[in-house]
Amino acid sequence: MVPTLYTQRLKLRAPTMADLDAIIAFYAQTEVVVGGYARRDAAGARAKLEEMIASWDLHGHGMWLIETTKGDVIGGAGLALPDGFPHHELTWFLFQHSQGKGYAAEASRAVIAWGYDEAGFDPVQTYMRDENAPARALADRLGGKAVRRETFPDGVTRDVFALPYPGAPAQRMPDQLETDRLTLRRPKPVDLDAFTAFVANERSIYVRRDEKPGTAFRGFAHILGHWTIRGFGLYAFTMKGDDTCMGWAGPFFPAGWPEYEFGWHVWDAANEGKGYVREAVEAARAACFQNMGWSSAVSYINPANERSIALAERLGAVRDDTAATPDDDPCLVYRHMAPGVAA
Amino acid sequence: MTVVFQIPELETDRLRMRAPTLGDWPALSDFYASDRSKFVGGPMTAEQTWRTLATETGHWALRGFGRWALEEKATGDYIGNCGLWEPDGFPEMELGWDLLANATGKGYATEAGAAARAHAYNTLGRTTLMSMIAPGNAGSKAVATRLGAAYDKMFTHVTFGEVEVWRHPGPDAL
Repeated sequence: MVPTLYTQRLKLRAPTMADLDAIIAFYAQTEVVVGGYARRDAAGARAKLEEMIASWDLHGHGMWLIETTKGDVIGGAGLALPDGFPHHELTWFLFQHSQGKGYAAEASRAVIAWGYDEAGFDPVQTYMRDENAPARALADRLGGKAVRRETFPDGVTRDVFALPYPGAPAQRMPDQLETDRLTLRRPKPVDLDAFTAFVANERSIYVRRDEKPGTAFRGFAHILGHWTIRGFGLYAFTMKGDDTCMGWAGPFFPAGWPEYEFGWHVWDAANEGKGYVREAVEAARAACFQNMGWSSAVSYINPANERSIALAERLGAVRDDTAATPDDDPCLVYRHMAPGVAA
Repeated sequence: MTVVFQIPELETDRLRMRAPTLGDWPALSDFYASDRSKFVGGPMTAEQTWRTLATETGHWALRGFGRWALEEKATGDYIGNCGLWEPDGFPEMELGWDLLANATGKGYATEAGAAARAHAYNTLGRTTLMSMIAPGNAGSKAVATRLGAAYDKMFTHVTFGEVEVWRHPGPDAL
């Protein structure tokens, strides 16, 4: 019985032969030429999938397939034991469209924890050819330490990394942030009236349907509840020294969102054109990347919302037409990358 | 500046009434995916159910009361929700309950409902309480009856339409 693992954005589940099309598609597009994920034809892809499935029975560990919250298979991760090799290894693969979003690290942390807790490996380890830069970078990102060099049965000498038990990522964001002009704080009940006025106003036409479940009260309540459930959420931003909420900005991640989002709304037109929302988003974004370990996040923007598109571009976000969107509504995706994270 | 709100825990003979958590989401999603949710705003998707879970949590912050998640003490299993609910559009505070399919028929809704009602009267100082019940929801009417409530009047809810208001005995009558 292969356990299902969940992370904040991903589900790791058993591979089955029903995944053959996805695996064939992966090996048809892969340009990875190291780490065993070189291009293969359909028969070769089938053999790899059969090997993944068989590994669980043979060894009690193996590869999971990685799904997003939308149920799309974006790759795989797990603890593999290559045929004839003496040690297990953490390994992973991602479709090209899903690379550079921190998915490999997120899935790997769940796999490593399972490796320690359930499979009894201590340490969980990984190894790779010297030229496999992506795998080395991930091992570094996971806190791995090269513990020895070893020549494997295929004649290749590799560094073997011990991977530490994943430290608990930051569970929450600070309740308050400060910028030059603004205070960002958790929304609170006193903001409800201003939010209700905003929702009644034509300025709210670009607020997604789901953010207005029934009434402003319910919509507002679910933003407060998001903070409680996730430990982060949209910040209310105010002028320093004045507690009046002008809008909100920051991280947002309800179920069904393919990725972490940075969102924003300015509730009153009088507060536009002064750079407030940019200042608020920049502060929230920097704090998220620093505190939460995210490598990337996106903004979902209605294609007709020119002001938000312009702001996303001023914020340095880059349009990503390959990214999944929350639902079938028209939506552009603008991607924010954490400092120092390569796409 | 910090938003502080406490969700008190209640305990009955067989149930722990606690704050909703993300761990309740899978089972709650199954409930809201099923026909059993048709009287309480469902069916809805798992994603919508997450929003509902967040809304119920935020209701505590906005109102100072709300609905508890119910846990069966013997097993630790999450079995449903019950509590006090008064979002915009409600005429007054409501006592409501939803049980997962495998938790029905054991008197749990009645047990939790009585504890939530006592909280409304004794802790919050309320003097009256009602339950809004869809006309076709015989199961909830049976629970209301066991709690000593009786049909009072009809109410037209902006989203849910015509519902029956069942009035509970006041604090002095209990």
